Amino acid sequence: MNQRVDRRHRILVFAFVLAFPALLAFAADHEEGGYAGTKGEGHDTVVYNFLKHFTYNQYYWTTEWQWHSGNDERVDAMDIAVFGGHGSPWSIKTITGWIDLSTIADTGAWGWGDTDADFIAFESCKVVPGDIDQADWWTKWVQEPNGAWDGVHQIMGFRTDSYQSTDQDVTDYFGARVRANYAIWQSWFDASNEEARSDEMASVVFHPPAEFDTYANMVADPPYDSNWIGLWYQY
Amino acid sequence: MKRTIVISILATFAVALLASRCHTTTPRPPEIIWEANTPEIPETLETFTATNTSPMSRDDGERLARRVADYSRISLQPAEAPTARRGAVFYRNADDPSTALTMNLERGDFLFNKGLRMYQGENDTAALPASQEEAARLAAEHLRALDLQMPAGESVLAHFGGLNMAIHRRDGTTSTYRKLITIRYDRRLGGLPVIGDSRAVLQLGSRGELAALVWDWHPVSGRTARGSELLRAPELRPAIEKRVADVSGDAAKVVVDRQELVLYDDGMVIEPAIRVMAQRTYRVRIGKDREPREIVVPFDTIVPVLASPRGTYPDMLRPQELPREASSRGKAERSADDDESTKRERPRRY
Repeated sequence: MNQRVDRRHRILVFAFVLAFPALLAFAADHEEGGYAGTKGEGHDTVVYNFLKHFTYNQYYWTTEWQWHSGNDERVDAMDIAVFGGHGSPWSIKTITGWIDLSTIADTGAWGWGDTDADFIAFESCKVVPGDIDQADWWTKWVQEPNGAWDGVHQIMGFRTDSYQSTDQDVTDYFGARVRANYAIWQSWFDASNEEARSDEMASVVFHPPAEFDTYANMVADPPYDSNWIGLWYQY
Repeated sequence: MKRTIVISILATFAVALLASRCHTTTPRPPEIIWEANTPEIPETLETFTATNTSPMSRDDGERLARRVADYSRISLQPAEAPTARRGAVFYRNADDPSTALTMNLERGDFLFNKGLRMYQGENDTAALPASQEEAARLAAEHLRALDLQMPAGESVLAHFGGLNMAIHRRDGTTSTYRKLITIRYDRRLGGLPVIGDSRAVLQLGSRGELAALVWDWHPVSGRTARGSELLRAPELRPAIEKRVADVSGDAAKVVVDRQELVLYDDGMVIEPAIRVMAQRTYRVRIGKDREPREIVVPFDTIVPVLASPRGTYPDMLRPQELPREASSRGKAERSADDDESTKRERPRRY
């Protein structure tokens, strides 16, 4: 009897030892960051409503440094990052200033994805233009050497204005869906349909093989200099 | 004499430092320009409460899932939703992670997405609805088949559009493909537009099939609010002005260009409110040269008209925690990006 119990214990311990690195890897591989672009405008709520679905890693009033030369320690250190704040095509407003996302890879930190970032969502106006907004919708993402597209899988946002009466609900629903391991950008678009106004139109640029990535199951990173890029958008 | 000069220099420096600290910690309130007046509030207004107050059971949810799955000819399985809102139930399809059915058993609203696997690829979707009229007819057929009804006179066509996919290939060529058609209905009650949760959004795919549906049209009963229950324009104006100032952060100027009387739906109650639309101007610096620029961004906010509102309005929500100050990383996070010292060449990885 005792021998049998001992054997069971040994099997359990062995199984745990085998599984431990995998568990650690899962925990370590999934890091979430949230970045609020303004103070006193509710964007902390927008960001928090996404982060609350996770045991998140970073939650900052955001600065240019976190997206630019310091991105390896901030945005690009996360598997998924969500920004709440003001935007315009390929640019966002941070606490320290407005940042042009089409030139962020001009330091040693490069763009996003060369370190860890897989998914980035901008709950803000117009950051991800569609082809009906900008005929050349891809160049500012993928241009070498300075484009942000350095291995990231999907960048989500809106091609239109987005509004404060709905943005905290969009990120809340999106967070629940990502956490439940649904396809990522499709969850962003569903969140837009579920929560946003009728004039808010979601958009995403994506690495084509990563089109059906989920948070737990994603393809290999695209090369940093890939210019193969897809776009889905609502109109 | 020397000491006086040194003290003067130090005092000037201290005052300048104090001024800069004050400038960064207490931004000047924005200049507010009123291009739209607060609408007059009628003597009486209808306010509404959801009548489906008894939650759906798990079995009810299962029946709804079966009805949607059968109609769409797919299989749906219950899914783990560890952080979904109270009363939420999620379903998924094992073959397509973009397939989703999420419902709220407490309210009866749901979102269904059949999944986009079948719309993947570089091609237009065959036989998409060709016109708004055709889309509206197909939408009505789908809703009827699922036993979902928008009561007569409540629905307003809010949007007719769609979903496109574009591709930029390695050789530099590009294409755009039409994938789905979208038709959205918003609600009107008592002659006023309903903003917030209420909606019916249908996405139509190949040969007009139902590709996705958001159904949030809970039945309501109304009552008349009157007298001191309602705030009037003279009381609303300062409340709106305070709200606009409170949520405008470091904007330099706010132009309020629209105010309209609406009903706001928070999911359980639908109450009269003022929707305020404004344009904010920010004076910012951009790029390495710190070039000054004015950026104008729109925003909206909802102000209740009831003196004692029961609804939860967007600006009432606050996070349980605040973000960390970026300055904890030191100077680098506080200042603009001008760090050239770390610049290095990209290796050729491929």
